[in-house]
Amino acid sequence: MSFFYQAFGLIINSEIEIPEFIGIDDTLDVDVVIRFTNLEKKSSILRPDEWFYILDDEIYFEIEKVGRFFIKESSFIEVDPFDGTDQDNIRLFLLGSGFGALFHQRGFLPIHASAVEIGGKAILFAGDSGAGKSTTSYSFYKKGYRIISDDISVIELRNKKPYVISAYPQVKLWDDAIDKLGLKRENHRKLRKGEEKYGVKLPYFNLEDPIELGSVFFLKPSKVSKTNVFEIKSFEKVIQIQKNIYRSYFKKNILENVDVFKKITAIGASVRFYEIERKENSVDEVLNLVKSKINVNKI
Amino acid sequence: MSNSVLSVQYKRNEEIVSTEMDDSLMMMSVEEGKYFELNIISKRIWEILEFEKSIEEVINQLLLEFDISREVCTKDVVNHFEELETKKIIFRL
Repeated sequence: MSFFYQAFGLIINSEIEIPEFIGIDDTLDVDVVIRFTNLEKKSSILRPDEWFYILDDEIYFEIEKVGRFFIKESSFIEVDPFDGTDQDNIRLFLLGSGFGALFHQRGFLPIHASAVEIGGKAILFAGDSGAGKSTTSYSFYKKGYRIISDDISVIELRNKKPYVISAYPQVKLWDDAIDKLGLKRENHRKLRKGEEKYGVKLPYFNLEDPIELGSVFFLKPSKVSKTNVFEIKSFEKVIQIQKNIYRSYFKKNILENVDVFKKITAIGASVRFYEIERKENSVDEVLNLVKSKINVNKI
Repeated sequence: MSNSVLSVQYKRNEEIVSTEMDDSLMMMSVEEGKYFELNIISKRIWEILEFEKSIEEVINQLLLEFDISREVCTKDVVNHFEELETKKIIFRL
């Protein structure tokens, strides 16, 4: 069996069924092939204290109790599941680290952030796990805004301007976020056995052209009594993007790469960055602060 | 300040990649893979050094642009040159 999908602006032909992605008709014009391959030989040169290696441009990684993954030629993701693993586990790492590796090979810049289209521009929400990226973007979605990507946002430069590429129609939410957003756990699929994180499908999604980046918000949970927003500028922007590059260790000497520097600084030079110091349960405040800052940008 | 210091000619390190951001200049040294930020004065020095110049020529240019005394300007610019040279952003000829 083989499936055809479009995600992250790429046409994908996969031997693994990926219900998270949007299916398309069979085509010969394929960017990425996902296939099952025996990767035992690749595994033999993995150092015992490591979980991945990069050889030339090829990336190999191995996840205990899940499987082996090998990404090469910017186009192939090879998967070798371990006995006893299930499809959900495989897909979780395929869509995470697997695509992360692929993006670096293709020269895309993947940022650990979610993106929502507001006022015709892509607004990025970055931050550590649990900072509220998906909760914030899903809250905007509930108010009628379009989600462009969740957790990983891929940035592309066009005429030195940063654009965010549409990913696929799913948002990952922890159990407490599910409850707070008024969703029902039983209606959504657990991403992985034993983990209270759910994949929430988005009925409204489109694979439009990349959306120009508008602004970037870094969410930072804090014990403050009032949720605050402040702008960050110049070198701090560069540092913040660097810190939020998804799977940056999959690109050798990433900060010595001129292309990466150009992308990071193009983002920094084109848009405003804000940090939101948020107290617990402050989604509405966060939404209001975001909206107020985006209006300022419209001038 | 001895005239010999002020008359040394400098040029840009052509291996530097730079992008302007929020009034400062972000730079990357390709050889060393390091990132730098230049403040307004350093940035202006970098711009003026598009063509080879001595420190004195740079000072004269800055005196036209900024309302400061020659003494203060000279001290400041010499310090900036030292820093830029240490970071291999500019070279002595």
